[in-house]
Amino acid sequence: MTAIAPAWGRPLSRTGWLPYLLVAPVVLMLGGLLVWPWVVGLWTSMTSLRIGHWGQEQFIGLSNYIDVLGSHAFWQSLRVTGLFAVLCVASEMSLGLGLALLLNRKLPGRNIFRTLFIIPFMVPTVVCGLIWRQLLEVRGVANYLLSFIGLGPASWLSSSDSALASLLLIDIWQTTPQVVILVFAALQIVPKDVLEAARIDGATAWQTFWRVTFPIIRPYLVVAMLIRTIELLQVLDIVMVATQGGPANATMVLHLHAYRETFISGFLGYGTAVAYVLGFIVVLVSIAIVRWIGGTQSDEARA
Amino acid sequence: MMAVRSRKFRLGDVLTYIVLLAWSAFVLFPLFWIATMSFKREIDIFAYPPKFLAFDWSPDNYLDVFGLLQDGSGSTNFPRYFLNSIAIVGGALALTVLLGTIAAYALARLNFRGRDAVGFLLILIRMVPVLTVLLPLYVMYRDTGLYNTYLGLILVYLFIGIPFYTWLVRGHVAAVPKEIEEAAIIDGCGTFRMLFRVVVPVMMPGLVSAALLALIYMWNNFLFALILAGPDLLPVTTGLLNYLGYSSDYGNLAAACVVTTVPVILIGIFIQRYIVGGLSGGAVKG
Repeated sequence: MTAIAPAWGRPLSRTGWLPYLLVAPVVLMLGGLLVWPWVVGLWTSMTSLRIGHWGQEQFIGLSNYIDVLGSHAFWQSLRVTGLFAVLCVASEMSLGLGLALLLNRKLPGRNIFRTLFIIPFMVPTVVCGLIWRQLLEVRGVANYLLSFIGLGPASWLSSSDSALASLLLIDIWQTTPQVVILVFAALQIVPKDVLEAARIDGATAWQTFWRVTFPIIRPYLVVAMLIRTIELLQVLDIVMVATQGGPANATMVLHLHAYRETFISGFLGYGTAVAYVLGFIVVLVSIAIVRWIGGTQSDEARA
Repeated sequence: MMAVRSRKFRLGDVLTYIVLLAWSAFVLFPLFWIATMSFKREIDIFAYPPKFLAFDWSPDNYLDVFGLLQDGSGSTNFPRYFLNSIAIVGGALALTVLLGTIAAYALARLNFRGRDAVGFLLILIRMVPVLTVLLPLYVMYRDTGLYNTYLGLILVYLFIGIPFYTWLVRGHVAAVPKEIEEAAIIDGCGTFRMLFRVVVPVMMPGLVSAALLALIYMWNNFLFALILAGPDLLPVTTGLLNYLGYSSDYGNLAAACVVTTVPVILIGIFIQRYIVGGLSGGAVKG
């Protein structure tokens, strides 16, 4: 955790009640809307609370958690979540890096491309899901275009073979811009004279990238990857809009599983326990990424 | 990335343009499709082969969405949802900017016990599945009467705005030269006056971009209202989600999508230079 926290500005030496007064509203808000609900949620996850049986719940300790870990649906959702996260992170990181490198070539018109590329990031997820559902209809324009190269038609989002791949496509469309923006910013801090020196010394573009550019932008790539991984492990909204976890649970990610158990099936304690297990997984994976792939800070990272 | 370095003909440049244009097409086509769909009549929406530009352009979907069509379905609550979004996001944004700015100042410049804990909490929020708090919030909202109120929604939207905004602005405060503050204090300014008269104006561009980025995140959220509000107080995104469930009037839906999306895209383009700090949650630009 401390690894992604930037250094604090050096404080002026002032003490007393003033700082507490200044942060009090935010702390109260976080306490009331976050910490307290967490405590309540943790308690709920250890009870048998069900919808329609308010006030009749009993403390059942870790039973819900044991049930979660013994449930087929949980492991199935975890598998879908893991697969989806790995596929998305891998394709978005490589596409984002590639596009950022191309944008970084000083070609005329690159500002226009840059602006165009970030637009999907602004589109509300609901709208994004609606658009792609239209495009991927059986009698939709995607199938029409594919028919020219002899493919399809397929019902992309409503067939269990292709639903997850279609979601991958949608997520690539919507969130690759995040990676492009981060990596492009990182590329701007690579010193030009070093690149020039490498070129004069006869290094190929390939060598220059791996020996000069990559080590410098590496911390940024780790940050981008960390952000995307955290977001993807708890992906919920785009799945809710595009497939609702179907068909036949082919896209039932863990967060949506928690949502459905809680608010649709009404197993409030159990559903909250699923969410807590997911939170635990997110924290573990984040720590693992920072530990294994390396720190997110370097001298160059303080751009 | 190409080894070809001849002045006259650069194969690499041509290939670069081809890839950039291909990606642009991929990015723009879905938006083009929803935009043209919003001007289509039903018969053109369901036409196969699909019609790209050669169809009977009509503004009816927009008129219908805003309830201006005489014999339209007129059943959409879209104008109401849109105003709800403005009220909720506007209220939450105002509170975010006010509370977040002073908290960010304290976090960046003042030394106090528990400061790191507050900073840690701001980051932790990003890592926590919202379902861990959504049910407790629902119960709490039921018990306190915050359920299905503007105040309740504004408060929960602070959840999206404040951590993110405070974290970003903390970085901007740290970048303001201390000499300015010291001069103001010597001139007899109190802390609040100094903050709002001296520090805030200096970091105004950063403040505005952080606020607008928070606005985009709040505008696009649909989950909180789905659980914490009734049909009358839905923001436009949640309204669209529900509408999707039962309506097959795709023309209206497309028009509603366009009206919902265009403002955030314009804002995003306006602040595009500053987005990088926001995406990394301040972890990159510190």
